[in-house]
Amino acid sequence: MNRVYKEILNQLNLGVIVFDEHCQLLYVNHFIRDNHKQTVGLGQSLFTQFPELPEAWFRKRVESVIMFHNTSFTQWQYRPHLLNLMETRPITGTHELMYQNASLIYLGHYDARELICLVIQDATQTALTQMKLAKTLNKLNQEHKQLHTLNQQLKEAQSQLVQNEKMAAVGQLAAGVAHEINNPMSFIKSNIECLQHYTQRLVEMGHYLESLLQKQEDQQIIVSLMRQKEALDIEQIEEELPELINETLDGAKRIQDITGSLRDFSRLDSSEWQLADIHEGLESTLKIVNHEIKYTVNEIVKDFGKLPKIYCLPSQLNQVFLNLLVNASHAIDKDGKIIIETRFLEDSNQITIRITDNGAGIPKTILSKIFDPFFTTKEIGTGTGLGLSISYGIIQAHQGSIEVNSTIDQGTSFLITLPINPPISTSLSDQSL
Amino acid sequence: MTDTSMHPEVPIEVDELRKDALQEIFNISMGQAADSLACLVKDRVYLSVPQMHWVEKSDVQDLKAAMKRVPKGIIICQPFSGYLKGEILVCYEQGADFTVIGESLAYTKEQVQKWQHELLLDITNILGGACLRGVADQLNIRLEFGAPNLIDRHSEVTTILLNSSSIWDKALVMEIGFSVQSMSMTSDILICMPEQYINKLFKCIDHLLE
Amino acid sequence: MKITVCDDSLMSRKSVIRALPETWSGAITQCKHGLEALEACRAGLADILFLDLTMPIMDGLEVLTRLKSEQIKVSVIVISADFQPKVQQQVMQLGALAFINKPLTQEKLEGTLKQVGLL
Repeated sequence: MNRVYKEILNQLNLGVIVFDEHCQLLYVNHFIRDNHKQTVGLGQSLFTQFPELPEAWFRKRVESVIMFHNTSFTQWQYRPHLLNLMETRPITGTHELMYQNASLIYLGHYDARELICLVIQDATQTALTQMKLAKTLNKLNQEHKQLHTLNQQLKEAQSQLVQNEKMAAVGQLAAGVAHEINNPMSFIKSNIECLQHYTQRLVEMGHYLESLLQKQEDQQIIVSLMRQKEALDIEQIEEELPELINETLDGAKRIQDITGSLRDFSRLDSSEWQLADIHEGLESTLKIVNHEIKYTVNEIVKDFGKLPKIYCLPSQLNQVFLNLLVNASHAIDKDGKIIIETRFLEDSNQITIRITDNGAGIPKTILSKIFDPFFTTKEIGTGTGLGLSISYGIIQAHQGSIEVNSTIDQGTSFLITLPINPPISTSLSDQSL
Repeated sequence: MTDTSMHPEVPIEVDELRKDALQEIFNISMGQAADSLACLVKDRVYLSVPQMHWVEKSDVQDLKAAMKRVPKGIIICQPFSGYLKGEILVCYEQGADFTVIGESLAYTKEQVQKWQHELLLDITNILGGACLRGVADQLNIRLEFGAPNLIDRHSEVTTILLNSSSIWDKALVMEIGFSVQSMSMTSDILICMPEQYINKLFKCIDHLLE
Repeated sequence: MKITVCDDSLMSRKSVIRALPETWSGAITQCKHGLEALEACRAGLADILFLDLTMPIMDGLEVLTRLKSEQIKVSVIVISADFQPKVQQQVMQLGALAFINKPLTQEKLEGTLKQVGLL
């Protein structure tokens, strides 16, 4: 080979290897000699001098290059270290081996031999930079994902807060309205009671007058009296009057009951932790939900144990009972039965409330999701998907737990466990996050 | 012979003789290529008769309509240069099984999985070489290839051609279907050359027609 | 010696004519498809027919079949880009003297002609 060409090849910042179709090594330039881990001998098989080369794969490439007289390429991404060439920077370098891009070039047919050339380019700098970039990108992506999750959690928390606020506002409103209704209701009731007495006395007076008239001689007067009595249907009035008044009184009493429950349920006075009777809360909640569940639920069994008062946020717990009872009624098509059991666990100073229905049950696949915010099986728009998640938050704030058990077509049972004396937290929303 | 499905408005002065000759040159090349490829991968290889399309960038949509099929998937391009200059675009559709062709190129099953992209670059390089070698030989010109590159993982070839910021205006596109009996796939090869090299191409053809 | 060259591509016909041995002289008929070639043979315009396979109107295999059934004596050399061994076999069975892969070169043609005793 011409000396100048040889010198150029040796000065090149590229590795150059020439071999024939049998992969017999014919030439290597200085770049290869200087950087390869082992010394390289010419005239030998490529694969004994460079044992790191995957032979079958490489021979196939050589075959294709000879066949099509073209060039074949490898990239550091796939074959980082085609040859065991050392990194060119022994001091500042961080990797032992050089990252390489390679080209396998068909040179032509000389002296009854096909000549092929392998050119190796040092891609270490590019590779390291790119790998660093990829790492950074990966980290950024992860952080982005974390941020996204946090954001999602924030949004959920916010919506829970909003829901809590909304429920509180509705409760306040209800209590206010209940109060407003209760005032006129009390005087209506007492007036009717008064009317009951008065009418009774008026009727008695009528009877007295009638007996007096019966005793005198003038038949004319008696006939006239009877005629008038008949014309005015007095006998029926006398008969129906007490019933009418009793019914009215009963209605008034029911209105008072409902307004009373509304007031109890939202307990304007109960936004603070206090000792409360869980049974009272259950009873007032049952009254509130009665109209919603009465169509599907025939029977409500109250299996109440003896409970001590517990330290809690009563209106919040009522909210939980309401959610569970309404959900139970929704799971029932007809002939429903809801069992409410309460127990006192003296050993652990806890109480349990179990609400069981005989409805459709919850499929296993979604059982783990029912406490997730926005998870709902109801049609879009009919449920917020927040009821159970809020309930979960409330029970957590009470340091209690809520568990669910469900069998398809047999029903679902929620078990709430509450400590009698939970460590007090300042605010519910802080806890439920 | 074959239907060449020409673009109705031929952008360059192309007379029928030259078009006919070009088509013949490609037909002959594909015959040779299929033969060599079959030898390399040790299996029956099928290369379709090249469909010649004259394309203006402004109506790549027409190319879409004229093409036998518009494949979608991993797109690899390989530039070629020398007397002529252009690019080969190969589209591999998703879901194809490359195990058999991989093994015929001495990739193990695991390597086919792990290094699928390298394998596809490798196949592209071989296809490019196979298809254009016969053309270069017949025209008696020199052609060299650049390294193939993966340019898109999930696109239609025409979408890549449509890229409005690319620098060509008019081009010749040869559409070739490629399939190997044992591969449950067909890939599509597009050999594209911008207008300015077509005239050089025809100069060579004129020599053959003398 | 009368020669007929049949190929739908002008370039290919030219490449055949260009590759013919310099020593040969005689009328050369060019045909663009199989039917033209068949008619040329019927008219006695061909001692030797260079025949492509894939052509419009009538393909090369059809020409070979007709020549055989009409018992027209012509030395046929098929020149095709179709490499399938099955096709080559078929062509030889139909009475062609030789099969040459495209692209045609002077050396290839000369070798084949010598092989079949036409040179």
